[in-house]
Amino acid sequence: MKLLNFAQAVHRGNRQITGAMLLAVVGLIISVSAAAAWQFSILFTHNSPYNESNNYPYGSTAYYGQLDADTGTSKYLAEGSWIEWNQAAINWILSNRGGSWSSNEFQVAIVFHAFLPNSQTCANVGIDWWASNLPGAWAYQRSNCELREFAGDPTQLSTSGNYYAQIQYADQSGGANGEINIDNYWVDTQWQTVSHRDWMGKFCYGNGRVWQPTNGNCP
Amino acid sequence: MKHFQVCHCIVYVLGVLLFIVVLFIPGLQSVSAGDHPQLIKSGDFVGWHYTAVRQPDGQLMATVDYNQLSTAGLEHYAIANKDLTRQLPKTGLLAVSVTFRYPMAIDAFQNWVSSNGMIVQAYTLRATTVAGEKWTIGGKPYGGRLVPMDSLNRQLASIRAYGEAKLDGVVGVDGTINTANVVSLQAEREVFLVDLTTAFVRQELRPLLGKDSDQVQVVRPPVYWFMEKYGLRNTSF
Repeated sequence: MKLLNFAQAVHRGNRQITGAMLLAVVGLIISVSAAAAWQFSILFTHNSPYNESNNYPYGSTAYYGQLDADTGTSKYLAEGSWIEWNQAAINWILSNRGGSWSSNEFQVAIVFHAFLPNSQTCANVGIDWWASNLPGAWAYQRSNCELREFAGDPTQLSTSGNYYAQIQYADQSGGANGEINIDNYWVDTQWQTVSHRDWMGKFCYGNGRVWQPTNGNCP
Repeated sequence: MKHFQVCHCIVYVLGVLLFIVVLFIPGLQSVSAGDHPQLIKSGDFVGWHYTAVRQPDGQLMATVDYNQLSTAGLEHYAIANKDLTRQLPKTGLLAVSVTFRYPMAIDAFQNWVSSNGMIVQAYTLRATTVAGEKWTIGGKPYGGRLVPMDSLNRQLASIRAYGEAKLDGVVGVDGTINTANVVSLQAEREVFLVDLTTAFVRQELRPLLGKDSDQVQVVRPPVYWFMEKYGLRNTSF
């Protein structure tokens, strides 16, 4: 009987260890795949690295704000500037864009978000206008604070091209503070899911003014 | 037994730590990444396809797609759209997306909208730099003005920061029109395509979503760009 109990205890112990090891292995696999995905995004590293510099026009992002005299509405214009893809990135885009049905399902997009300060909660804004010289540019609103601007014809992407994507937000909060983030994503245009994030920059806004974050934070 | 328990604890803690590390890997955190949309319905037709999904935040979206890699792909899409006319209601308002053959000047666009009784939601414009670089501008009516010039001029000023550019005009418009006007719209010489897929997809989704089908945001790749690329602006279907 004791022998049987001991055997059950060992078996139970082994099961616990097997379970814990399984958890560890799963964690390891997820870590490795996440790291692999992150490394993949290196292909989207640009010839001119993004940063938060406002050294317009040499900086990689540009932005301004103003109080519209007619309506009293604050308007904020954000731009991803001097965007370049190297040949390896273009080759990767062209060889990975096909999906299960479409020949052009996966596309690269410049994505804008207007958030409440230091959060991922949509700010109270409307999206007014957008513009881009990306080849085959098109755009849609993913939410009231998010716009995606696509390079719809990646066959026309060129390493010698400097690309831009702009958005104009209209504040609907009466001048509250917020932040606008600019990122580059690889988007599945059928499912609207995103991956391979390449962060480009963010800036703070409020009451018709814009300014750079302090230690990455917006007040 | 103690040996087993110690091993168990160490391995368990390691596993938990690995999960925590994964959760905080920078760059994996984003608003939409990692969330999984639900498929509502998809459909394959001759020349085109759609996928309708419900996003984790509840937003209803459908993407219309066609073969953008060849002239024939766009031609099939245009023909398919003409065929949709017969499959949609004969009365009431219809969501349409119109692609022009050439950029239409702002004044002409305003007249065109007025004469067709279109309720405009958004439109796309083209600007070209002196070096021949093409810019696409997206705009919408505001404050009762079809084309608020202050917003347009602000975009143009931003574009001109990189070199002289001229506004060519409006190349496409999304909105609703009276169903009775669709056929005459298709016959207009300025019009390359009257895209009816938005109305058709919403109709397809109505049995599943009821009135919510009218809220589905239907998006599609830019027809004007590919029409121009494949030299189809003078082709009629």
